[in-house]
Amino acid sequence: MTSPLLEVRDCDAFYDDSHVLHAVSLRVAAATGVALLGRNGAGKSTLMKSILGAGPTVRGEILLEGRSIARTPAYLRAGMGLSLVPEDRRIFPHVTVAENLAMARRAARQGVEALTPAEAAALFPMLEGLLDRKGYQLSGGQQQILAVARGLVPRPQLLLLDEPTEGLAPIIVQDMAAQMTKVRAQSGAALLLAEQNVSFARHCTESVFVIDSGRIVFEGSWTDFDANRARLERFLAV
Amino acid sequence: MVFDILAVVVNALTWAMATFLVAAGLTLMFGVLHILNFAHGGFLMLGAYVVFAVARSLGGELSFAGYLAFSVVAGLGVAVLGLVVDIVVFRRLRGVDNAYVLIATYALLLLVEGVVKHIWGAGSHLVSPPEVLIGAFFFGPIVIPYYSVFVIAAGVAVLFALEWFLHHSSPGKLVQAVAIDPWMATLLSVNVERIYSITIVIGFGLAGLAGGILAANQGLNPQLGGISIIQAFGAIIVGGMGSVRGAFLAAILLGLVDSFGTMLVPDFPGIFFYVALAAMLLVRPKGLIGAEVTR
Repeated sequence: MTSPLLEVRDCDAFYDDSHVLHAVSLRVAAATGVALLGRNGAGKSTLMKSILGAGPTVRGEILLEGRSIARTPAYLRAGMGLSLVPEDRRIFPHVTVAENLAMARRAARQGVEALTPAEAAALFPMLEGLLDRKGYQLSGGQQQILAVARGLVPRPQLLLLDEPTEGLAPIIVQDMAAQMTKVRAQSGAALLLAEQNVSFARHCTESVFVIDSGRIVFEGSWTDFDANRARLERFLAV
Repeated sequence: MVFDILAVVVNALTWAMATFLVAAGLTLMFGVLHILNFAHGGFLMLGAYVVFAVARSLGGELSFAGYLAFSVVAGLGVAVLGLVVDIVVFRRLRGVDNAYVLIATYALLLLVEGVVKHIWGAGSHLVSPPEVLIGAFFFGPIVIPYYSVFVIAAGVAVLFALEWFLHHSSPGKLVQAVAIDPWMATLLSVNVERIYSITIVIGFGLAGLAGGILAANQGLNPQLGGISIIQAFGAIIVGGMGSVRGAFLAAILLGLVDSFGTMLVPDFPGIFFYVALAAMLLVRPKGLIGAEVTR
């Protein structure tokens, strides 16, 4: 059996004294889309950050293409094809859109040619004509799209999107769903998508994990998900 | 009257640029690492003593080029010390309470003072300026010391060098990014620890360089380290903690207020610096310019 692109095996994660993730296991195969559904505080962001090693203290095994990265510093993991787009966007306000995009070029893996700012912006019609705008001049929606575009700049093997639709107008969410499908087809990147918006997640991915109180409570295809919908509803409702 | 005012302005600018030279590295390090390095003045003093020691061993007189060159050497030497201090002290101070930072860097200042006393003694020393910087020229009826021109030029040069580094060089842009959001910088594969080390090395280098440039401005003694940063603290507080441009503007502002104050009320020299500092803190407690190195 070949190793999946990413495997999280029996991971516990902690913030100081609080135990956030409990024996979480998860796999993402190359070029596939995986949704991670769960309520606020279920542990979605903590799992995303744990995969990058950026924040929580993690106990357990994390493998990238079969090699352990559990003890690799976060900045090196970011250079190994793992690209996390955090839920709070974190656009640098003091530089232009183009410079925000250019800064991510350094995260490209060895031998991979990163996207230029113009190439990355061209993936999303909403960014057209904004390259010279400063980060602080963008609307929330524009910042979110920019954050996703920035995540794609290093041509990651796995894009980790943390609630990209949060706070966005429905029309922008629709656009983004269409763009994500196109971008994934073009780039061949796998996607791990933390979401509360089930229809958006369904549009962008092929399989589902549901997390609740730091434990994985469901894993399967969208068909399995629908078959278990009644049982899963309580893990999703707000 | 006009000429009196011009003379006061020249005085103010000299004071301001001397202050900015001290403040530049201090505010850069604060902006990026949020460490207020109490020992900054100590390392500045070390730079001054290095130039003094070199001048003495060469017979007491340095040419202008030699003086500049050895100021740069002092800067480089202190920059290397910065790397050592980072490894031994500062890395342990990441994310700890400010009180510990204060105590640790104050202890470092005492250590540097002790080393200076041990090597050069507790007494005072003088560094002669290079010959071309001795004396003054007339600009109309006002007298402008050559040394003032040198200090003002050095201050402006350091401002432009730092501004270019931060806004136009790629390591400088990373330093800015880390100052604003170290976590996101990490996610973009920036080695934040290395950026911290680079910043500390530059900050210490600026201290050593300033020490060299200002060495001939005043007598050297082991108390210089503590004294020299008081005014610099004023400039970085008024300028907005962590802002290089802010420190530059604040130094000029404080210099002008203090010089004109002293001209009008000659019985209280130096007091207007504190008056201006207090007034600024009442009016704009966050300083002239935001809170980052970048604005």
